[in-house]
Amino acid sequence: MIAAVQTTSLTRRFGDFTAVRDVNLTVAPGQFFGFLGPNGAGKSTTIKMLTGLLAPTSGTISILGEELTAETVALKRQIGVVPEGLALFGRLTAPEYLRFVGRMYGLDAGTTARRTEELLDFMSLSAESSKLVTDFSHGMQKKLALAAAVIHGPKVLFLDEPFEGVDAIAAGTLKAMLQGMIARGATIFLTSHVLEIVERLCTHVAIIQKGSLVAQGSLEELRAGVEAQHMESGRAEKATLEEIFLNVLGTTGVAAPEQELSWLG
Amino acid sequence: MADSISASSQFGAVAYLRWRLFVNAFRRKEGAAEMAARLIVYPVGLLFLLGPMAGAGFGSYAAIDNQRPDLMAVVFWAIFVLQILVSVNLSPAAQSFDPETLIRFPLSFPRYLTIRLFLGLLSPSTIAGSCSLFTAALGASIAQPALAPIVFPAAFALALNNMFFVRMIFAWIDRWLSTRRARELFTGVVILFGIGIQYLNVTFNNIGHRSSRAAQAAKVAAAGRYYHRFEPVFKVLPPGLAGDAVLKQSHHATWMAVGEIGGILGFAVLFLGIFAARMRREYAGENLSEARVTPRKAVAARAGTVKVGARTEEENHFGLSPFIAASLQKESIYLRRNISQFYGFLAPLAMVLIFAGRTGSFGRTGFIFPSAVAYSFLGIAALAYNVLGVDASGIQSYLLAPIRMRDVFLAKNLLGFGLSAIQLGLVYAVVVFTSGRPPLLLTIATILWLLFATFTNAAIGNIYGRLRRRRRWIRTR
Repeated sequence: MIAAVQTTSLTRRFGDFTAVRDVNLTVAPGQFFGFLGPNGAGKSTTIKMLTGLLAPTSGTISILGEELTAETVALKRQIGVVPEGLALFGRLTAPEYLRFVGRMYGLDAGTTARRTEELLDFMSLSAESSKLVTDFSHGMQKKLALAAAVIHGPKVLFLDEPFEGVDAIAAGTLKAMLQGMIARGATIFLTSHVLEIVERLCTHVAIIQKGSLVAQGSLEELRAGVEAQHMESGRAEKATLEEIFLNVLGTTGVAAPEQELSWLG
Repeated sequence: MADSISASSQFGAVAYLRWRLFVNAFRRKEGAAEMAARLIVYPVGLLFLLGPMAGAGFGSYAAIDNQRPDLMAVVFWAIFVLQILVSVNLSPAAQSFDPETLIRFPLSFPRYLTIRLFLGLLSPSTIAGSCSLFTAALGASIAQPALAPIVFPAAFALALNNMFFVRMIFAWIDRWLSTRRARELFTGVVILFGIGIQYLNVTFNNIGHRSSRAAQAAKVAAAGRYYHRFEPVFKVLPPGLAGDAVLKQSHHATWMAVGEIGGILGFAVLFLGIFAARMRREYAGENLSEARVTPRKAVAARAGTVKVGARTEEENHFGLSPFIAASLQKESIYLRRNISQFYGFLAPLAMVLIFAGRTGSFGRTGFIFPSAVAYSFLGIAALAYNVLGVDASGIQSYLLAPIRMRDVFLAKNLLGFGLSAIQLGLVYAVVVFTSGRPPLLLTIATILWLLFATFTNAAIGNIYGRLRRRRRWIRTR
């Protein structure tokens, strides 16, 4: 089976600093894939490389079985991306921005207009259609960035922290949309610090730490490893993703007594 | 599959983007101010454009009419230098969006390159240069219509060459200036270059002294000798080739003139190739903005920060409250890390050093000291009107901290006063060194004026800064 996303020894260095080191990822088509890691672990750098925004220092990337080289225009048409900085044009309105994006992906005017209307309705942004994007709240900007990422119907969607700064109602809307895409055969690759959401949505996860991949597999596989340790210590409850995450990173997430901020009220 | 997206769709999308960004710029609150600014800037810009156009047109007409087709090279060189100077001064303002953000879309490299070139076409430098080349060709053709079949293609080839050259240089400068330190050093080099030009101007034109017509003519002759010394080099470069093509055509050597135009196009292709190589790297995802700090340096920087913090605890605050002292310390750190501001502080002193050394009528009046102080003060005065500008969203820290805004402004003003005092001392030293001690009464009057100006500027700047803060605070809410 052709992987939706596959990397081989993917490495990115900035001077002497290695942000991503020898990452070998495999994401099957139709998977909802969570890419986790602490702050500064290399998640955003990896997503930038997977979407052609940043050239790797070494290693290969293939999307839907085709190698992502410098000029893979056809591949870029198959993917959608919500980048770390959202990359919106602040001095456009939401319909203007979606119209621009639709035309860049070669959609005809009628299709672009119809999808723009549907997406703005779905994202509850229709009432704000005369506002400039720069006047949007962070959550609204995130919804617009997601709308732009899917307007051309991508087969693989890359999302960098899609739920950060989004309210509970909007998060519910986004989750419904993403699950609908998965049901129709799309692949979603997301990074998030909200482990509860990742646990609820993703079937497979990979964990990166200091640029290196430290775990990869289905949630059940990773859970089994932690639960085996639980059994040894006499605990019977199911391991959460947070426990898996902390276990893989080799930390409990709780500061040692001498590190506690005793002066805090 | 890639070809199924029509070029017109993508080029149209970018044109639409540019247009909407332009139109929407007038929609915001600042839009009215921007409109007013443009209403002033555009006519002034047009005048600046008409000047070189008229100069190039009349210059080339005069050269051909006076049977001096060899001077066409000088006209073409002048236009080339003008285009470079306009690019240096206006290119950052011409940017309305970062075209690099387009690489995430399914855009082929040739289309990306075309868009980058097209955006360059709209720059003021290209417009000024190309229009001037057109009028130069027109002027020469009016003077001698037989030159038209060569001078227009030569001017067109040179316009292409100049545009590609400027794009190439700026693309590579962007690459070299990707780090903050490099940008700061570059600012220093530009300022030093400006000061150097002023030094040459003062020295060569002997400002402050009357000079005879004969002396002026001697200078022009000297400049001509310098030009002729480098002429063999100038001749094989594109503006020289364009001038030579016109010269050849005037001698009825049309095929040689065509060959020279081919040479210009060869240069144009070379510059386009180098520009394309840079764009290819950018298109492939070379990220220039990433900091290239080695881990060792980063650790050292962190250690330094900790050390500064620890030392603060032990420091006395020179009689200031801890809040004001903390704000003042922050302002000093900002000043230290803002080398552009630092150069801005030093550059007027260098200009004073250059100009105060002239003992002409200006200096003899004794007003050189107050003039130098007033000139130097301009740089510091500008800072007072944007006291919260460098803080950006960090202003919120002031609003959240248990500190009175009055103390924050006081710290900022103290730094301004300190800088004014240092600059006053340095200007005084420079003036004494170059022109002698200024009269005592004039010195006292100047110091009193500086006090008045510093306090007035600080007061107005504080009120302005406070009003801006309030607006920002309301927007944040």
